[in-house]
Amino acid sequence: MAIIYIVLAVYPLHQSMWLEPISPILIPDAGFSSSEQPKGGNGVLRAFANARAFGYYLDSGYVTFMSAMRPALAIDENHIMEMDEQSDTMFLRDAVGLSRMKIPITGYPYIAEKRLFILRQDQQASTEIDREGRLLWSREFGTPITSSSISGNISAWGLLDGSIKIIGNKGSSVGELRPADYTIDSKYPCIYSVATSPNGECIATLYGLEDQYFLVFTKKSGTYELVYKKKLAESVITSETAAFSGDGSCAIARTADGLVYYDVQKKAGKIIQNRYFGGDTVALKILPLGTDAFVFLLANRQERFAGILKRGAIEALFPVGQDAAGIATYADILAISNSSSISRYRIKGK
Amino acid sequence: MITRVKKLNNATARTWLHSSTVRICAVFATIIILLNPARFVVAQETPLLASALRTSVTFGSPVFMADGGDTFSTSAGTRYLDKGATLSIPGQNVRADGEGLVLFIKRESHFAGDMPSAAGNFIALAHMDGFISVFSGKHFIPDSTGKTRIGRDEVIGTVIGDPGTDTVSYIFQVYDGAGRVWVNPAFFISGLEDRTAPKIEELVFIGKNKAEFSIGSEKRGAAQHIAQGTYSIAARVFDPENKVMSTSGVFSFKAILDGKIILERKLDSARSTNNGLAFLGMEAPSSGLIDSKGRIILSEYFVPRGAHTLEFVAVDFSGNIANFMSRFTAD
Repeated sequence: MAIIYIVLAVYPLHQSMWLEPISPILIPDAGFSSSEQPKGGNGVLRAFANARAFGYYLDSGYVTFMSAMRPALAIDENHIMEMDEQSDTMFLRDAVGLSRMKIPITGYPYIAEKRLFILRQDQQASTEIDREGRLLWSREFGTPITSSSISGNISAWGLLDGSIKIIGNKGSSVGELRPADYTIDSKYPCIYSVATSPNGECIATLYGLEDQYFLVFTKKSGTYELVYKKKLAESVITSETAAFSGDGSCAIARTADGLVYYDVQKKAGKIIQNRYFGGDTVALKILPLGTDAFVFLLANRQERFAGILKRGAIEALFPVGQDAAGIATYADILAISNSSSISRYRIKGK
Repeated sequence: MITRVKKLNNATARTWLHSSTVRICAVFATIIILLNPARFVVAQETPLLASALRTSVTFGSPVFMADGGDTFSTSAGTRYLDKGATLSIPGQNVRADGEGLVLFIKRESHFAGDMPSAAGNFIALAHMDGFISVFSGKHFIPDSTGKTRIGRDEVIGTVIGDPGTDTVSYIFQVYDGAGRVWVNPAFFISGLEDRTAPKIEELVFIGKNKAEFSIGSEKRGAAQHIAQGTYSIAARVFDPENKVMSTSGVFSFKAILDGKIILERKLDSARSTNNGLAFLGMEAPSSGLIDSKGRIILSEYFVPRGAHTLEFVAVDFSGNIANFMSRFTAD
């Protein structure tokens, strides 16, 4: 099986974009390791193997990979947020010097788009702090957060009650989006995924049960206008992934029918009915790649795959190990982590 | 369809008056109900009806995060009013309290960097009458069979208990989707037996300049002099835990100044507003309704010059009453 994986990793099942495997990076065994030169790479690796969190830096200081599996831990290239569950205390660590600061707010850490959040223990409030640990804003949402989307200037929080709260980066309320107000005939309102475009003007969401819809809204004169509605044959009942491309020209969202690809310019969507994205998919993570492509990592009941999507088509798809847990990109590098190493691929082609 | 437990009302009671025996019983029942209306409840057709060996209703109770000890955190966002109940059940299986549809399941993330589930795993069931019941807990694991239609008493998840224990506990909350309010889960729990009165630990007047004047408590009645002016009434009240019986939770407050009711509030529901959850009918996020000492900040009231008598009453959901009276003078 291992040989098949290696062969398929080098020669993927389908590829019009070429992925060139480059040397993997081995993760040190355990502990809060100090910086060290990674084996087979020319960067600095920080590994927190016990916590299943690790990161890899290039010599230039840019991060190529940084991820965490534990809910009580979040990391990016500069900082590590850690909730000590024994003492209910949040710490903010400087990832370079590893100096530690106590944050007087408890909850679970979440880092996205270089912004630091703390989710309250009941999953119904969020607090943003700056990198000095100062409180920026705190917001209570009323019902549990089911999904979120963070961009540089706004954050959107999908809720169990079927609404999306949109918060400015200083904590002001930018708006509340309730798809039920747009005559969407779902019997049960609930937000299953939300994605915001990089400029915050466009919001895509997977909404409702009996029936479930993929919806896209754009901001017009301070209010949100429904510009696309797709009724789905099947429904999900868990949080799903959705993302806009780096240039905001398209969006991808996982649904029970498959992946929905939405073209912002054409205001048109289509379902990518690849067998890998169907009902057996347990989890999918999608990240923007460059301007108009995406990388993804998916897990179904039997196996895990990674790949690239571009303009609504699967450009690359290949199996990865069952313990593949993280995916990240930097420049033209795709990195996939598992429990013992970080596999790296150079993305070639356009 | 789920069954909501409703307080016995006169219309319901009238239908029972068919025989003299029933009439006699009804007279006694009416007397008891009049004395303690919240304790006697009957299950009507079907909303959600939970039962447990032991229940601790914490709806409206301040939640405070330990900050290196047992003090209240002074940070915004770390204190808020709870809206659930903890139910202890035998065995490990958590069962649906009414027929419903699985609306949402949150499980542990498969991938690194995903938004964490701060509340751990949880499952939300939508019921025909617009209520949503939410089951969660630190060791709660939602059912993974993929079943979407759930019947009453069907297993919806399990709780990993400590070795050697034969009961486990989980958190139970009820949301009214139509009204966009969290409802006190005590309304939906059968056999909630609580015979312990709430405790009024502290009652203070807080002036505009944040100056505090203790009006007293059960422990220490205080006769004070305060300056006339407008004050917020802040109270630290809780329903004490009982190792044997359930805790039904503080349900209502009443303040009577010089024989006139100046404040009367119920913890029956919490409304979702743009500012957050509004408890006690007050438009404020729940984190703003309690202060760093865990006191609920209640209404403002103008206290005129003169001698005054203040009576403060707290009642738990089961009807147990705590009150005290204090005399003070406004100069």
